Amino acid sequence: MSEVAPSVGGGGRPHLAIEHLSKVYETGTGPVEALHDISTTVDNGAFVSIIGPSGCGKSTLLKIILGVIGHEGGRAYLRDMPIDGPQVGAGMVFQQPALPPWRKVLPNILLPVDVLGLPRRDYRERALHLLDLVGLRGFEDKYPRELSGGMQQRVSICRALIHDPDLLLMDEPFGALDAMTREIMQGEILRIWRDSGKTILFVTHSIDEAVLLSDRVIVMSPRPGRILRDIAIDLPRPRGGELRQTARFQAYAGQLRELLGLIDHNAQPPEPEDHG
Amino acid sequence: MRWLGSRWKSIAFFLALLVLWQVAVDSGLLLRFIVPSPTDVIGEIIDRWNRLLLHAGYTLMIAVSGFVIALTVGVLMAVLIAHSRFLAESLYPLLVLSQVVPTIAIAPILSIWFGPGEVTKLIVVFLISVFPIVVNTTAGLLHVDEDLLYVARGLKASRWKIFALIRMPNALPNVFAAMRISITLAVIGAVVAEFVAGSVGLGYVVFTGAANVNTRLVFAAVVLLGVMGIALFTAVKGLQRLAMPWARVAKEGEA
Repeated sequence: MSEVAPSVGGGGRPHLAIEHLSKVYETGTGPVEALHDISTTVDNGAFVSIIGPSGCGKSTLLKIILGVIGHEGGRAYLRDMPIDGPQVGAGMVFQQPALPPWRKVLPNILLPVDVLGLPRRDYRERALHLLDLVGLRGFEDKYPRELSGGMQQRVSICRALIHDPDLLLMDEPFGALDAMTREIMQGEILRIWRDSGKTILFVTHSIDEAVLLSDRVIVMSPRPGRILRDIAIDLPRPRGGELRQTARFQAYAGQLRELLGLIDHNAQPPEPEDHG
Repeated sequence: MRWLGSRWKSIAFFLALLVLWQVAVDSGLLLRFIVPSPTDVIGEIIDRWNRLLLHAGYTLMIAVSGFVIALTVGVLMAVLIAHSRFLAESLYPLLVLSQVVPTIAIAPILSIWFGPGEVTKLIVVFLISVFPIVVNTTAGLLHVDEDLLYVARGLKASRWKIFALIRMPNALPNVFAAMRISITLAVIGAVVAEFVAGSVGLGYVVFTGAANVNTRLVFAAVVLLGVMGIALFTAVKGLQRLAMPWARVAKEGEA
């Protein structure tokens, strides 16, 4: 547990604080521990990625923070308020865009406004501004099925931002996109992050993506998910794709690869812990 | 005329069949009093147009009214089943069980219970056409994109909001798929009910025509029933196009 690195960044209260969080799923074959004693903090305005093997509980952690599933042990706080229900101050983006096909682009972005019972007219301008931000101005009257996967995911990001949450939770948002679209989207999310000042918690399978985007990368173990290491990525910003070629980028990527057990000769199996 | 493009083959085949049929009757290969020729049937429809129209109007009224009742009640039942695990576990199996008993078989009993009037007929139409609506609508209400539900719940969406903004529109394609099946079943239900009860409707015409070996009249009524079925089916499809404009647009990359 002492492996958890202190959070980087300035002073003040962290945006997100998680203390000894654990999660157990009841399944047909008995309880399964998804998360084990997770403790970390995320500073205001930080870009933090979570990386780990499939089924390590990364997505579960995001849903707990969004407040849509519960947890057993420990505590989680958003802006010092305990998370004990849905968090309207967080916006969520999934791997699949999850856009209702019956809503055109603009109403799709306004879905949270409808759910929250706010007047649409107050948010129309903001929706159009967000469309501008992701380069989709002019597509507001299209149906989702008329858009490519990358464009749909951009709409999904706009939807997550429409009610101006200050935390953006992203669960492998570019995982279903082709490699080229993915690189373009990485550039866009960095730009949106810089322009908006949001805090972003970003789950990914891609080592390169985690290094390129993040201030910190949290490396998780296979189930039950524990935090193996918390690595600060000390690379200059603004960052672009050319950063991938640099030795420092490669060093970070190599370090992560090693931690994830992808390099055989140096691989350290995660220390077995006493679960009590 | 673009619609003709994909259909001319089936239209040509149909016309060829009609000609073959006509020739077979005219040449004496088929006995005219057993199988009337297409022109005989058309003549019969023209000769008895006013009376047939009256009967057709009645059958149409029964079929459409029963269908609308089935649609309303069916969607409401689906909402209840989707809403409550208790109702899903208590109501749903009974509903499936009810389909084991052919509605047509109990139509005569219904006629004894409720008399030969419209009530019996509407009940028969309802029973025969409600099942696809309940089953399909329930599926559409329940099979919602999980991630979309998380997005909504993360915004503190009430069950009502989720129902109105997500589940109901999500079920719309299922509702229309069920309507296309049920409208056809509704016509069958109306005809069967008219077989056993009352003295009006195309079902009654078919029944009495057959009893009198008046095959021309039977064929005339059957043709009108076919036209009615196609018209109702087309009307439902048109309604679907209006209600689901998003299903019409070309998919990305298919334009």
